[in-house]
Amino acid sequence: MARTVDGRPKARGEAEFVADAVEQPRLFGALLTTRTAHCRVTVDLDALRALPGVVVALDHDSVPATLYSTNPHGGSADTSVFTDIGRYPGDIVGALAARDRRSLQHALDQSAELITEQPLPAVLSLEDAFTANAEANPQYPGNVVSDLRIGADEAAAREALAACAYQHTSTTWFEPSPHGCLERLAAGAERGQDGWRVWSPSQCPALVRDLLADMFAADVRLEPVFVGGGFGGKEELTLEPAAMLLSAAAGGTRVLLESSRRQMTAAHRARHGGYIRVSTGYDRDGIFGARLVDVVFEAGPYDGHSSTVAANAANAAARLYPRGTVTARSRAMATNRLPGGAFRGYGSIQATFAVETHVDEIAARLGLDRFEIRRRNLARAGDVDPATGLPMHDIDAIGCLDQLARTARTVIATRASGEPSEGLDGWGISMLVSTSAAAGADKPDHAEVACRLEPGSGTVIVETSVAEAGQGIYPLLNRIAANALGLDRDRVLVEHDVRAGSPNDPGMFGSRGANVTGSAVLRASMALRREVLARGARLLAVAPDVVELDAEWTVIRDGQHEVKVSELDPIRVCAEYATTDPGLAFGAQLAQVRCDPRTGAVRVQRVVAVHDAGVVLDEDGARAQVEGAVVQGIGAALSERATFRPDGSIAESGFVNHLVPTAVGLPAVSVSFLPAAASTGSTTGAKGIGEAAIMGIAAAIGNAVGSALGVRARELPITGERVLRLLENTTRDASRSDDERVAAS
Amino acid sequence: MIPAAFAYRRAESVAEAIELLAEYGDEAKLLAGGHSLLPIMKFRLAAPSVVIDLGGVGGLDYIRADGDEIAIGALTRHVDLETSAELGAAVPLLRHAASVVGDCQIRHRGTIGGSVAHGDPAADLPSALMALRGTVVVEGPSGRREIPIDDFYLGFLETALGPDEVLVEVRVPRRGDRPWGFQKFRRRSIDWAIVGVAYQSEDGGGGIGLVNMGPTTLRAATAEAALRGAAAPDDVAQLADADADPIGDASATPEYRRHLARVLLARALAGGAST
Ligand SMILES: Cc1cc2nc3c(=O)[nH]c(=O)nc-3n(C[C@H](O)[C@H](O)[C@H](O)COP(=O)(O)OP(=O)(O)OC[C@H]3O[C@@H](n4cnc5c(N)ncnc54)[C@H](O)[C@@H]3O)c2cc1C
Repeated sequence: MARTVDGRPKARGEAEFVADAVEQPRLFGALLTTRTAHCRVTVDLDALRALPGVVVALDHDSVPATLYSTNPHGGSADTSVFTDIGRYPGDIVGALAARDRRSLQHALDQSAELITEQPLPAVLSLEDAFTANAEANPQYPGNVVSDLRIGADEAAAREALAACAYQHTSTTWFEPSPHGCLERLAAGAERGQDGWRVWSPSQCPALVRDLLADMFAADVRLEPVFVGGGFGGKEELTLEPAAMLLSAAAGGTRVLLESSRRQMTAAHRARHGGYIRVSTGYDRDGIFGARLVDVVFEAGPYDGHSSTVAANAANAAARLYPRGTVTARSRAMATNRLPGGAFRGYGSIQATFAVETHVDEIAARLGLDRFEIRRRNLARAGDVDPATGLPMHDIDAIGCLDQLARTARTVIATRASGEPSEGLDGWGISMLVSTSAAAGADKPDHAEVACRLEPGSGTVIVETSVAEAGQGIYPLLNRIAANALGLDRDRVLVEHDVRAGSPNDPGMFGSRGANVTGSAVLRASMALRREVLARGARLLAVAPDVVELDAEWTVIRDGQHEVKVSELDPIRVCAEYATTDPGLAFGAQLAQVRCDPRTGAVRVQRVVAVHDAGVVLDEDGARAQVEGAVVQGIGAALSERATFRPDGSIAESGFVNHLVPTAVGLPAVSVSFLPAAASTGSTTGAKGIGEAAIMGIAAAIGNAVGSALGVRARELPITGERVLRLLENTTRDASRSDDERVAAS
Repeated sequence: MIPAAFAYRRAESVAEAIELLAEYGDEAKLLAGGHSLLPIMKFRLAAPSVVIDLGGVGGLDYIRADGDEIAIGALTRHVDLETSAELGAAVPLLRHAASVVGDCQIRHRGTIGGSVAHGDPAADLPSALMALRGTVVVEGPSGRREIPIDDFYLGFLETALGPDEVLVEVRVPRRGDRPWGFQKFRRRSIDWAIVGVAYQSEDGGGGIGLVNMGPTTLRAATAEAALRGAAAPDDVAQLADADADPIGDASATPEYRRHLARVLLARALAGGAST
């Protein structure tokens, strides 16, 4: 299946997502899940199988004995496809498949009574994880899933902190939040003579293919599909093996397994909740001498991405201002509640909120300008990155800050309009730091692609295992290839191909597309062009350096003779790109808000975003990424959350109460990029932008609320109710000093 | 998200709808704009075995003057209320309330009859009817009867409408250019109200309706009494939640809802119309 871009098929309703692409499924499947936080489970399979239309019902007894990680990059192996111990409300204990959707729904309506749950002691809060005798998962003694450190030795950092003239400590809290992608998780499976066909909306199809091939000891091919938004929520391997088990139990017949909106909202994965404590030592000029960061995230009962998300939050918190002695600790703690997962920003929204509200507080104590305190402390090229121990290069954090300061001057000067008229206005800024490759000093990121020329049609096809999830990777790869080949963009197609032996690219995550995948495409395109010239030269019996290709790619000539490109044999070249450079990218963002001090409502009036995206390959695409991220960032700041009930279940059930921002009522967003002076060492020179742009929004909004109302929001999301409570406390505490208030909070 | 199986019947007149209701009794549900009924059927909160579509019933879609009242046909859509100059001149509160219901698509499908009959305490229009002291006109096998809005709501999604009755009309008094206010507090521009307040001034006082402050649309009777006693607006506003019993949910705690009702009533009394 070949396509240039996704816009046209999506606009015409022709684009196929998993549930469309699995044509005429013979069976319709659904997951069986728990209600109790922690319980031993028995499923009455016989009764389920006896329900009208039900063909297959499976539980723990039909799954492979070995545990696996739902994180396709490899987390701890702690999950069973169907568990016999439910470890959070909504844990997957089995699946059933019926002949049609109506029978399936009927069976699901009955299923609650056919699943017996025997409660076990449960860990129902982060506090419980530290103090309770209960264990959320015996695999994690003391409920510690991970406990990692970066930077200086902690004792040395404490000493340096004590030696500073001033110290400030603040703690920020985070509620979890589900992803809210439009397409629900689904998977299709069918076993044929030559192996499995699987339909998956994974962000990491090539990794998923390899894992499934291993798990089922069989050849697996993933069918090409569009992904209806992922944001990290589709970086989990959950439904695919279940769909294959259902199919296998019915003789390999074609199964479509779908999740419900409620499962996606209340029982799949979430941006991590938890808290981050930051302590900074500084002098009277606001120069930082030491910093300690302590990240504590709630993992839920399984590791998944939690240990790496927590570690990444620590990296981001340490990297922004690497002045003096810096150390960061990250812990992921096990509970029997909704698991945390990968979510756009990968811990950085929380880390940025923690650090940037903290920096504003220090500026306020010293009476320093908010831009100035950052200018004095921001990372500069040559500073050692506390996360890797290597010097940072090709970065321009201060350039971003200065560009924001110039743009901000006019924004700050104009009072926003809007309701309520008696509202109070404020503005706030935030810095941010992102990476452009899933690479570390000892772990390279790599991508493979193939480019092939179909001489008959003169079309070049880029083969990639990366899926298009609405992030615009196909138009981008099309543009990179077309530019390198010197061809019109409509002569280049992008093909999604995930079979054994097809070009292997781990997928869409970590803002790596433009940098890593893009660099591989650039190399393959250049190699294809060279190969076309070499083939022509061979046919003309001359040296490759004397032939040339016309602009339309119709003929290869050496001055006297020519061969038609259409007469060449088909050509296919592969190329690979690998890097150990995380490709650091800084940015600076500003939010202007109007707050209603009577109701606590916060409305974002305007956002300004300045980013170092390296070489901007596609200005429209990059801008769209930033605008989308700003919208999602506003959701994270103000309204999106999963609210725990006392029993550990989630109150939100779907888009009625999981409040993602809607098109009505969004602020004006102005986006600009740094001139491409600071590029990575990558072949395309591009840096990632997809995640960077979401990282500072909540922090900028928090700081804007601070400047409008004179109170510090220390918890995300900043709901009206929280703002009111802060205002009440300030009035009540007006007599106490700021330090006392900070200490008390 | 698939409703339970049901049979579909289409009524061509109010009389036929009443006959069908008599035939199927409790098993049947009327369908108007479908924007409340279909969602609850999909969530399986309702599973009628017969759905009787009112879409083919003519003559129930009007806004007309009738003495010192305005009569509105049950099948009149929110968008027609929102864009009616006549309603704007005679009962601006109701017109404004219609303009803040959901989003543009919902206002093009939803009907005033459906909104009033459904009995959702979070609905906007019933609070305006409460402030306006409106009347609900229903028709059943034994003819027409008029139910004052104060007697119409019995409990959560429960009304005085009989199982064989059709809501045919809503009547509200003309209020012309007397002061009014409507305040809808929501997290995002197109959401349901977390709390809403409708206020309409009248001779010697005013009517106050509350959205989402209890199991039904409510009248803020204590605040109205203070208004009649010529209390200062801020003091009246402090009584906004005196008769309320709000729930706590993912969007707000009961205390926050009470606080919001007081703030919103103060603004509504000052003539504020939120968008
Ligand atoms: C996403 C969404 C957002 C919404 N937001 C809002 C909002 O912000 N504010 C708000 O007020 N509303 C909101 N609504 C509800 C909307 O206004 C509905 O249209 C309205 O509440 C019901 O009107 P309907 O014509 O669609 O009724 P239906 O859904 O067809 O019927 C609703 C109920 O009334 C009964 N009924 C309908 N007509 C009659 C009749 N003539 N006689 C007797 N019984 C009848 C039906 O049997 C049913 O029980 C929203 C709806 C949706 C889907």
